[in-house]
Formats: sequence, structure tokens, C-alpha cells
Amino acid sequence: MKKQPETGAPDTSGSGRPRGQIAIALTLTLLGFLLATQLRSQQGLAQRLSIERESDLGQILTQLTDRSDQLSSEIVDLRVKLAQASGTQAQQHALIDDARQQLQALQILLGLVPVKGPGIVMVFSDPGGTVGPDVLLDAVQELRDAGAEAIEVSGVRAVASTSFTGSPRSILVNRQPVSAPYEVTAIGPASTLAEAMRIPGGVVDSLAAHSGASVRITEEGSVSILHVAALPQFVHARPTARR
Amino acid sequence: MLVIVSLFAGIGLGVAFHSAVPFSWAPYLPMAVMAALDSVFGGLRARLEGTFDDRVFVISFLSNAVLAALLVWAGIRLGVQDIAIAVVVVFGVRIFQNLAAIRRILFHA
Amino acid sequence: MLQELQSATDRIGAASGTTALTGPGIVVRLSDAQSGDQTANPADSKIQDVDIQSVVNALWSSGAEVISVNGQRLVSTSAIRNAGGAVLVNFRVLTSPYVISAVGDPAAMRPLFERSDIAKRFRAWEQVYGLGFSVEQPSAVQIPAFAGSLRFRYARVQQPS
Repeated sequence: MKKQPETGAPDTSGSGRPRGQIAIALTLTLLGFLLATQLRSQQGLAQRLSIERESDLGQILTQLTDRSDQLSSEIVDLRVKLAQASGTQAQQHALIDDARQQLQALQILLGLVPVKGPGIVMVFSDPGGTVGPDVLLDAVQELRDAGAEAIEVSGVRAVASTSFTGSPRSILVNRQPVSAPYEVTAIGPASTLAEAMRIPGGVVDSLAAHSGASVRITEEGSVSILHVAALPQFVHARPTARR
Repeated sequence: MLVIVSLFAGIGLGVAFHSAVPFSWAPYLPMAVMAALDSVFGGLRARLEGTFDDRVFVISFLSNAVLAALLVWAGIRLGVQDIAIAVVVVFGVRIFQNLAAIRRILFHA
Repeated sequence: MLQELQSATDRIGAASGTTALTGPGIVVRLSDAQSGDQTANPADSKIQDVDIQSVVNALWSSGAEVISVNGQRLVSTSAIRNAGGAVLVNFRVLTSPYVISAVGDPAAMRPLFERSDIAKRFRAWEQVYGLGFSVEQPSAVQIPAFAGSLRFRYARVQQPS
């Protein structure tokens, strides 16, 4: 390589700078590597093809095509097997999920487990002692009609068999005595439940006939019902024999 | 000197490692090589003209290779057959131009 | 895992309303007054939701194990509401006469029910408004399974923390 002409400017052409040298070295190494690789692959190909005659080449082509088809159908088979295997596992999971959901639905229905969700909390105050069990019964009925999925009345889980008996100031919820203020918690669509309480002729309205009684209703994004009911033990009822 | 050494070192490495092209990369490698060669000759010319900048050299080397590969990839996707030929032509022209300049410098300067 | 869930479900299944049950008990029949008196207040001559609610409430407190109204099994989400001239139970439209079936020990349940407030009131209304009210004790009371959906959209089981 010829020497550069001398100039007044500093020599920035890179031959003296180590960083530049390394960069060039690496780049050219890479190039050499690529060249070698490319030459090798071409060489191999040419070698293989050059010793074959045309008819042999045709035969090789057919063989390769057949093999390719074979592999393709193997791929399809393997794919189907894979789908089946994961399907079974997925089916298992789905069955378990279904069974768990069914069990939990029954548990919630019977009031056997604590639940939580959106809903309302109602507090009935009864300074005049005029609120009777019929008020609470009516409230529970209206809540159910409005879509309440779980209800608790002053610490007693209200399920199907929950009765409201007694008289004002000595109300019995499922034979358990409760006292004012009566707190009713219901889980369900909060605004629907609250509205149902406030409709004309509804619970709030009917309280007007009870002197001094009032109710405060709060909608909650999340409320818990912790009290549970006992699993009913049937003494007289038994499953109808299947015919 | 460094140039020759590193070039042969690279070739040696390629031979020693029996490197081969994965089949799906087959169309891209020759293009990358062409682009790289173009950069090398461009660098050589710059060196002889006194305008060589190592950073420019490296960057142009890499970007040319990448661009060439991208061009081929796009061509294949778009269904342009033999786009490789176009790439070869372009780089070939540039290599010849650089060679001409080098020749002028070496033999007329 | 699946077996455990299945057996747990079976254990509470009978109590939950998903199976039809049968047993001894009583049947209370309520019916609207026979229309004849045009001037009668319709509210007085038709069975209201509160009437049925009160009878059901009294039956529960008298010891009923399961109750159904016109074939509608009562579960914890069942509501009894007026809708026009009919009564909705489990969102199904029911009309007079209303047959309220309760399975339990008739020897204990019947006297308790007959002594309840609502039973007494109904006996009076029979005379005054012509409402129908009867208490029977068949040999076997049939209670069908709950036929509604059991999907809870808002309530979630609260896992112990």
C-alpha cells in the first residue's frame, strides 16, 4: 500500500488508532468467515450435483418429494396427537371446574359458606318498638325478588327455611332472638336492590306505618356475609324413588 | 497488513468450524457477502484517497449487509423472483466503480 | 379431585333443592274468592303474595323440612311476589288455587300450623271475604326438584384468609 502524502492536518485515517484497528480487524474477520461459509455451501452443492446424471437427478428429485410428503403427513399426525393430549387435559380441568362451580353454587344456596360480593346493607332502627317480624320477612322477600343471592339478618343467614316469628321487640329469626337496630345485608346487584327497597309500596314506604321506625340503606361495592346456616338434616323427607 | 491477516483469519475460522448455512438462510448469505465486499473495496479506496474513517467503514459494512438482506427478504415476500440479481447488479456496479478509482490512484497517481 | 367434589356435592345435594323429595306432611290450599260480589275490593278477594309468604313462614317455623308452592320448590333465592292478578314464585307465574306442600312430621307440624296467626286469620277471611283455605294431610307429599338456574353472579365464596 502506498504511503499517504504528507499533509498539515492530523492523521485521522485510523491506522494509528487501536479502536479503529480492532473494528477493521473484526469486520474483515467476519467477512472472511462469511466468504468461507458461502464457498463451502456452494462447493458442497456443486459436488453433489456434478456427479449425477440427469436421469439420476430426476430420480433423486422424486425421492426427495416423496420424503417431503411423508414428513408432512407425519407432522399432521403429530399435531393431531398433540391436540388430543392437551384436549384430554383441558377436558379434565373443565370437568373439575364445572364440579367445583356446582358444589360452590349449592353451598351458597344452602348458606353453608361465607360469601362476599357487591350489595347493600340496611339498618332498621325501631325506637318506638313497632317493627314486627313481618317487616323483616317482607324485606327479605323483596330482596330476593330483586336478585339478592345471599342475605343475612342480624347475624342469621337467611336461607329458604328461615322463619320470622315473634313480635315487635322480641323478633325471632329462625328461632334466634334478635334486637333492634336490625341489620340486613344482601349480596346482589347493589343499585337494583337499593331501588327495590325504595319503590312506592316497598319496604321503606311500609315503614311509614310504623311510628318512629326508619331504615338507612347503603350500597356497597363489596360486602361480606360471614354467618352460615347449618346443613339441613332431613328426618322425614327422602329422595323420590326413581322409576 | 492487518487487513490481510484478519481476512485470512476469518476464512480460516470458517473452514475450521465447518460452518454451513442453515437452509432457510440460503438466499441471504451471498447478498451479505456482496454487500460486505462492496464495503471493503469502498474502504480500500477511501484509504488510498486519504479519507478513510474506521467508523464509517464498519457502519457502512454492517448497514450494507443488513440492507441487502432486508431487500432480498422483502423481495421474496413480495414475490419478486430473483431480486437477488438486482442486489448483485447494484453492488457489482459499486465494486467496479471503486476498483476503477483504486486503479486510477494506484497506477496514475 | 373430581371424586371429592362429586361426593361433597352428593352429600348436600338432597338438602339443596336439586332432588325431588317425598315424605309425610301437610298440604295447605289457598284460593281466591269466587267472583260474585262486584263491589268487593279486589285486594281482599284475591290471594296476595303476603298471604302465601305468611303461610310458608308459618310452615317453616312449624317444622317443615321442604316446601313447594304449586310445584315450585322453595330455595334461598326463591321470592314470592305479586304480579297483576297472579303470584310469581321463582319468577314463574302461578294462579289460584295455590297448593302449598310441606314435608315434615304431621303430628307436630299440623297443630303448630293450625295455631299460627296466619291460619287463624285465614279462617276469619274465609267467612268475611270468601277466600278458600284448607289444610290436608295426605299419606305422602311430593316435592319436586328446583328447576331454576343455580348461577350466582354476585356472591362469591369467601376463602378463609
